[in-house]
Amino acid sequence: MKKNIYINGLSNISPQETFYQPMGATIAPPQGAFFTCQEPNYKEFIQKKLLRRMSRIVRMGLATAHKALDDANNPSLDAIISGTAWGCVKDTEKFLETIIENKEAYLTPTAFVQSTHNTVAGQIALLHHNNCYNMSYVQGNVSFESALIDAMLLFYDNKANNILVNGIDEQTEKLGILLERLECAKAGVRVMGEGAACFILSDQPTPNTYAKVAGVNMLYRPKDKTAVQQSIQHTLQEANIPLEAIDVVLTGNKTLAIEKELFPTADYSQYKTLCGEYPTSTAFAMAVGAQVLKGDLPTKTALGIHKKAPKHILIYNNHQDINHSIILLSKVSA
Amino acid sequence: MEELIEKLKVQIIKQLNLEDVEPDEIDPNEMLFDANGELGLDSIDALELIVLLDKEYGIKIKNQDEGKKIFHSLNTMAEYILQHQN
Repeated sequence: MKKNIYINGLSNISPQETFYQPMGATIAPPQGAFFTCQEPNYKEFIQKKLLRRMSRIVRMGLATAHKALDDANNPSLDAIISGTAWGCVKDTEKFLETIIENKEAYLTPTAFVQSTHNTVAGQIALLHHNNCYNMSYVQGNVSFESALIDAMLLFYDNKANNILVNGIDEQTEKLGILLERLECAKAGVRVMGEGAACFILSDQPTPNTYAKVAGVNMLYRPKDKTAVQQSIQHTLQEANIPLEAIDVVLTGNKTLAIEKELFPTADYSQYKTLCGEYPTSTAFAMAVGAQVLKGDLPTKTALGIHKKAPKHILIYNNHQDINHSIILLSKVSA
Repeated sequence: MEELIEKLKVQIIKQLNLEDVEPDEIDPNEMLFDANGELGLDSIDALELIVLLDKEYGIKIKNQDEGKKIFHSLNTMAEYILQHQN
């Protein structure tokens, strides 16, 4: 049975200063070839002895999990669900480089152990002594959305009251070169980025609730623009929200043809100008969108949103006409 | 021996990614695998040290009991290297 799903806690490490405070008016530009996250002091959250074995993405995942849980007043978790496309790519690189440098001998265990995609979700469970449902979705550019849908299904099946969901990917120089060669990142089209956003979703609101996740939808290689528009309309109909009620569209796209046809009066924000292009960038959009719905003015300003009190935000991302995703957020009082 | 100990300190810091640890802070007599100790190394670190000895000094450790004695401290490691290095 469908249920309301609330974002009761969140944390966001991004190329902007979003971890210790809401995003400010000063926007940080990319550092060189890509956007790099502004990272917190991890020693505040992770023991020094554990920290030394963790790569950046694991640190980002654990710090955001810690802060999001704290933000939600530390509820007991029934599931930990991670979405990541690139996984622990730095440790994977390190492991592969060692294989080459040492001619397939002298392979050390740490980089290998930490290089799997489910390391972040596993480490969150270990640090929080939590042996609940633990899942990692490696689903390309809809990894975060896949994690979200899994969480929603657990709520609908009454299998969970509180779920941690994150969307997390790290960028490295070598990955950038490879993506360019594979034409996943075409030079000059979009600056690549990275980020880690973590959410505590619950089936009950609290005084700290940011927003409601009113709908999530994904499309794979839709045949034309109409198919995408129909899917967006279907997502809104299921949530009983008329098209004209959408106040803000957070779009991951450069051209806004579909968005402007469907929502001519909405405000638009191209969120990737703040976080860069990466497979789970919609998690960044969901974090800042939820903060806007909770009434955070600096984030609203940073996103260039003019509507006074937005009630419904649609996040739409189209990755190379292959993966399309839609996330619908609503203000709790709406 | 002292020169080897200093070299080992640098290699161990690098191999085990001991952030914020300076070579001077490692006592050559301190137990490496003491959970309450300053370094507090664990079983994964033991594997890393076995690889380090093989890669850097050409020494293979096959006997687990022997390993416990060798990796007791930096001093015992250095002594073993001096005795067994080709």
